[in-house]
Amino acid sequence: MNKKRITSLGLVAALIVSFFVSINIGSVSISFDQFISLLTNKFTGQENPTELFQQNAILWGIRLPRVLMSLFIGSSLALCGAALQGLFRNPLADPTIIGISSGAMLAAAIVIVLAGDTLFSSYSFAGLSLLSVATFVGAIVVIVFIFRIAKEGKKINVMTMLLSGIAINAVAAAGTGLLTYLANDVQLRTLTFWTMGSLGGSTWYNVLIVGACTILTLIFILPLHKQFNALALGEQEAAYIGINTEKLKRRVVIFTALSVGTAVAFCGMIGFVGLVVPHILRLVGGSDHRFLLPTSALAGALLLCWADNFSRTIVAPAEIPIGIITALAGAPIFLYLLLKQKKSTF
Amino acid sequence: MLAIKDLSIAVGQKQLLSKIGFEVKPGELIAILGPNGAGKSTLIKAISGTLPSSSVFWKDQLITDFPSDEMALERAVLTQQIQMSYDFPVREVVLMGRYPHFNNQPSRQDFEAVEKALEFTDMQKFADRSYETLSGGEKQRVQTARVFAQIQLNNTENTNKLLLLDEPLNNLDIHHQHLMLQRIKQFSEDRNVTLLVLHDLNMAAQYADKILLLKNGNQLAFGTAKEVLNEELISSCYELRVKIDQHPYHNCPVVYFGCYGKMYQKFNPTVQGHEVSLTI
Repeated sequence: MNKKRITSLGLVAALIVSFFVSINIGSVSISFDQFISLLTNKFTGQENPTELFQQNAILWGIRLPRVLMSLFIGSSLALCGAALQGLFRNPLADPTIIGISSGAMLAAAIVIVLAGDTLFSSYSFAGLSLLSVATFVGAIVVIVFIFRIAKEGKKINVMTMLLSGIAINAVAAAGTGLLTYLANDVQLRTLTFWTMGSLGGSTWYNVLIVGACTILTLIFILPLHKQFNALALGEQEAAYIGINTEKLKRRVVIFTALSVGTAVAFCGMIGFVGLVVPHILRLVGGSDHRFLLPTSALAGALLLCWADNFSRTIVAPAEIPIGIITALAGAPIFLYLLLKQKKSTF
Repeated sequence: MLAIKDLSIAVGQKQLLSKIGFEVKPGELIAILGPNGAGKSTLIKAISGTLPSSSVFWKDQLITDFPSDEMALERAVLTQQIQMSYDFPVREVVLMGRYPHFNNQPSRQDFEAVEKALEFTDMQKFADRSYETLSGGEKQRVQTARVFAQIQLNNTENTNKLLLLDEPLNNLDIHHQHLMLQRIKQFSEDRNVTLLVLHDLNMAAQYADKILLLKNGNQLAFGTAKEVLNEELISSCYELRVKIDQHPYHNCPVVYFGCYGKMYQKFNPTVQGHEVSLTI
């Protein structure tokens, strides 16, 4: 068995174990046995014993949607990170760094503040849908903008890509700041939640939307491993071996915007997942996208699941925003990658 | 089988190619020669079908009319200065040449083509090495192997294909330069069409069936080595003194470049040297 297969199988196993552990831990503990009996009772329609009432409410109302949310968001963010890096032909392309998340964030802020409280007072389905459409549009505008601005003939200029990311992040921060100034108390709290990221608001509605987007992203991005590998040769060379690079670009742009957009809409800014996960996997198993894409999805789910476990247990019953945890883990790796690039290319 | 009819390409005000025209029959190996900036790479690009033009015909059809995935099965292109954005094992890079031939999982035939291409370029022992750790010449051989794998150089029933190589001998040592040209020659003799950009006129004389001489986007000559390699044409093309002789046993033309002056005097102390002058 080779390293790649061991890694993939290891990730699957770790993910399954992590799922049950995540269900278990929290301010109210739900043991494995309890979880199984709650699950069977739910589907057979049996009454739960009274001592399990609290666990039952927490499992179905809070814990399970939240854990599922972390798995979906983690896998789609990491997969999109890997896809963006393949498309930009550079390992520094991450939705947070090049400003895609902030673009979505700004769009979310605009909708939250300008669309009025009525739409959001009850987290209505219409409101949430409007929010996710807005973040999707925000994300797609930024990706297209960056791609246009950073492209010099055949190559993506990395400097331009990162610098335009800084500019977009600044504009988005300014816009969000301005909206914060205009916002009332309720909106302010919502905005704060968005800028730091949290899976705390996960409901079954959200999970359904995010899950559907994640599955679509997996279906459309995972089969593109050949295309991404070929793109490593260069755009022209990929075209010579029959790869339709325009189609690849369109797909990556649409599904990255979809994933980042929905992630931001429901969980706020969760940065660096798309940077950290593919980077570590490249170190372990190389750059072959046949390996990189599916393992990124698995490892991303694993990472975010544990990041959220920390976020909700370390200072329980309070929470540390998950965006803070992923940023703490991701920023050093970003710096490391930057230094490595400096050595090899500048 | 390949016909270029009055091909002109301009980018903005700059005329890159003007009124290029020639025909290539199956089995012919064409060397494209010319000084830097003559338009050699542009010509390769135009023939590959990726530039919009209505002057390149492949099998009596406009080459731009072929869908790119279909074209990838019968036309392979080696470009100059390929920079890979991520590192792969050598075998994986060569396998990329097989991408047009399989959907999701490479077949046994694909793997065989890869091994054969590695063998043809003398890269078998590097197959599991990481591409980034190779030297410039070795990288060039890997990229050539990828192109060979795409076009299935090993298959003897393989005919009517088009191979375009832009400076395939870059960074190669003399041994591997000859090895590559022998493989390419073999391939073109199986009724395929091959065009390659070279800088070494003697290599072209030895291996090519015909030579296309370009300068400033103009076609100076198209014909056999004996026809094209004449002193007047070559010295005016490269603006350099030239003496053309015959190879002692290949009997093809041999080109000697050189100038009178200090260099010349070094070995001929009795001869009065002229001022150093490259041109005639």
